[in-house]
Amino acid sequence: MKRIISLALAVFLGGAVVQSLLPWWSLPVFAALLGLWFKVGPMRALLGGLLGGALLWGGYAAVLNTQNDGLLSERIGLLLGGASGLVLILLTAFIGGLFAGLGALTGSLAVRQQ
Amino acid sequence: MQLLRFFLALAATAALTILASWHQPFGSPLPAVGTFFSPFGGFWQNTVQVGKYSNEELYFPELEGEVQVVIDQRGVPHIFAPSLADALYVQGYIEARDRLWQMDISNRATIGRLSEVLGERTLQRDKEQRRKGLLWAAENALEAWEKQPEEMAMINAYCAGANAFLEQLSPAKYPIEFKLLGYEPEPWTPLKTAAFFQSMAQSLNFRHDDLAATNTRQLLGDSLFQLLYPEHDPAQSPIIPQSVRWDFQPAAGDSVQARAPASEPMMSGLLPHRSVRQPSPFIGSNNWAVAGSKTASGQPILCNDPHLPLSLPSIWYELQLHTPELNAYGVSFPGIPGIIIGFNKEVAWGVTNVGHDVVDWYRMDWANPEKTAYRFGGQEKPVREVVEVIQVRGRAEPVRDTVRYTEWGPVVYEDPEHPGADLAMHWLAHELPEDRPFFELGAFYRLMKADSLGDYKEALQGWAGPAQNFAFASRQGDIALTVNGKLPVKSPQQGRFVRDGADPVAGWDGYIPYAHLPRVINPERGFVASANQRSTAADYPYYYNGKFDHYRGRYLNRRLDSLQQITVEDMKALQLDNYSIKAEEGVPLLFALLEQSAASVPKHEALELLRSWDYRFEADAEAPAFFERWWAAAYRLSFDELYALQEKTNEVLMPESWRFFDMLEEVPQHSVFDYQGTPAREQASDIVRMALDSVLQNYEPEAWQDYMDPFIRHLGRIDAFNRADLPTGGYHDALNAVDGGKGPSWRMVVELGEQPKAYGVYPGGASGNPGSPFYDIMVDDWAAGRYHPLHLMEDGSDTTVEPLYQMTFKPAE
Repeated sequence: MKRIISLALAVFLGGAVVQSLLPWWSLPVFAALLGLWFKVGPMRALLGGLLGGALLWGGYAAVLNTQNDGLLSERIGLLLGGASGLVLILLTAFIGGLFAGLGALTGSLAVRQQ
Repeated sequence: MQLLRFFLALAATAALTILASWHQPFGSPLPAVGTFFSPFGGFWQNTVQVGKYSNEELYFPELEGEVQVVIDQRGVPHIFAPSLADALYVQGYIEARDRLWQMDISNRATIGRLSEVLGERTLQRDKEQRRKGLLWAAENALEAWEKQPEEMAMINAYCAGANAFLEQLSPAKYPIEFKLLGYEPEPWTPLKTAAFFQSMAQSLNFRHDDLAATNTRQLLGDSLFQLLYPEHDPAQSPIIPQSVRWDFQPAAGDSVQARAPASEPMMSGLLPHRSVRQPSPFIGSNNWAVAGSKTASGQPILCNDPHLPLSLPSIWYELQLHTPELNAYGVSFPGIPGIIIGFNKEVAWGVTNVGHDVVDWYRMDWANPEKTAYRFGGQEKPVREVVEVIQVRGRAEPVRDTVRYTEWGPVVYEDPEHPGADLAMHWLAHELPEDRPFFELGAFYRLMKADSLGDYKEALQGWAGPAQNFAFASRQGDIALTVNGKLPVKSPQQGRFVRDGADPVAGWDGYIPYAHLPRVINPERGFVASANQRSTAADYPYYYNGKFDHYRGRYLNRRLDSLQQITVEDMKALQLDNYSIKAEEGVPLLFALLEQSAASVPKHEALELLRSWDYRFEADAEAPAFFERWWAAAYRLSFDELYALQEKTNEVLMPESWRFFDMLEEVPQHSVFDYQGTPAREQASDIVRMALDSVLQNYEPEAWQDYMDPFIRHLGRIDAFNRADLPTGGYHDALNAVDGGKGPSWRMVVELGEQPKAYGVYPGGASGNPGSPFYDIMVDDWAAGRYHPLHLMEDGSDTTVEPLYQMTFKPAE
């Protein structure tokens, strides 16, 4: 459990830096490197990545949405068939979690398990 | 085993990552999901912090001195610069900041480069724009402007500012439309500024009925044609009052009568083409100025409300420009330096469109089947072939289209099955401007710094087109209106029908000399006004034709005649006036005919409503929709023969509504009123009755705003960014010409005096970003008929304006 949270924190904090500098697909790449580095089992890597990525993307989206009074998310929601701002944040969190999780999983599988 | 799992995980991650980076995957309209949803680079980055604004300091080596910008509570920039170049540099920077995508897409739409980013769906549109030669027109305009250092300096400063913004812009901050559509902005160039100018010529000076009129005249014969489609509305009240005398002889050789053929030759063979897209006939505008003798304050008041297709972002951008030599406030077009409609401490000016027909069509007489040469004045002339290369997103190879340029202009219509019906277009906007001391931008520059009637007169000499009615008022007490622009000299009827392209005499005979243009200065009646109606009464010595307003102009002149002790509030009310003479005349006429019809008049609540109606197209009134349905049904029954002609040819001309009402009154027994669907021979009264019965059959009360459906469309047709169901009345034949997606795109009222008292509103906001509170900040005010005070600040520290934040642009240390 501790390892999962450490990995999640690493994805969250490191991801924030990496993502501000590089394109969006740096997220799975970076998570894969962390998966390699942390030497955790594949399930834990997946969960840690998922958690970190979801928090990073969902959390940042939630902050931006709040500062914006939901002006833009209302319109983007309309564009996507009537989704609310909250749904968009959850969707963003899911996409972030998915790619960070898959990345970390791949990384963890690259090293020989004990 | 683990190796297999690793490769599976790697493959899945890589595949999903690639999929999520794919714009419009599998032909869907979706943007790349990963890119779009990433809060670090996707749409979340387009959110702006509401209510939190901080001052900015920016450094640009191109600047000559320090420029201060006060952004007011509505997001309007007030720019204080040490030179004109610096002011326009910052105008370019800020307009790009607020409207970058609008500038890009407008340019693509104009010169036919939409498909490059939008794919197949805009290919036909692009082809049409290229055939219409919009880019050629822009190149010609720029070629002339380049000879004028003053104007090129203005354009270059503006472009440099816009590009300075673009250079520092990270992809994460690209306007959201770039992200949705998946492409990148390009630098702004002088040619794009010229192209924007020509897009205005297209919006304003491109209406023509030549094809439809030619076909319809052939099918109906000349006498019926002239009856249904007269050129003059005898009830019209022209822009230039009849008190103005034409104390000149039309320039020798330019005389209309000298060249007039006995009658306009009739063409044989119908034209098979479908017309290129044209601007709506209901695009028009109002402007007027009242002299101090008619106002409560004793100071002149100027008003202007240009009617255009309404869009978000709005076509207008509001700003103040202050330099040592000028201090002006008004609205600009993003992409063009300077202020188009506005005021300063001494003067105010506004524009409406001139409806003169400046697009004529010529049937080509090809000299060979390859169409490489054509007959012209007894000779064979080679065509200039231009291969248009259109990049289409999703296609490996670009689409090529060969456009043939002739003496007249580009051959726009070509039909492989009917080579004898190919048509070349002569459009004024294509012409290489002749040498002048300055051009259109120079005219705006001179208006911005004008302080007298003399300055106004001088400024307009630079303006060739699109021809506009320039209204003017000054603090010194002068008012004026000029029908201004380059207008061709034509013989009677010329330009109504397609002409013989082999005959050089079929062309225009020069241009109306500047001194002969219709104008009025300080008329006795104490006001000048225009609403796109005919420029002059029939005694003007030059022939002209075109599409003209028939109701707004009459109403405007009537109201301004009767008003005295006018206040700013009166003028706002007049801009918002929903009264229409069409209803005032049409309703009693319909009832009179109804009573003549054989059957007894039915009792119905809708008829009672209509009888007691005040002829105002108010948002919640029910009579207007009923009136519209009734007369439109009568119109369709009357002109059923014309609708039937549409089976024979694509383009049929329909009579204007004023002519329909006139015929109901003047020739009620004419055979045109005989409905073909019955054996009986109907008259106007029968038709009116039949129309009423059909409308009453499915009658349901409907508020006018639901029928008229006012809305503002996003420029890229992204419906989620629209503003729909706006609570406003209006009618295209009323001064408040709101009509569905079109209407007053900027309302301005300026009372001159010690300090100008100015008010304005447009249905949009400073920002083009749908994630900004300024995106549509004025839409509700506009719909409700509210105005905002427009403060002409004296300097950057003027306390009449409370800054939201300030920007300081400094030359690099």
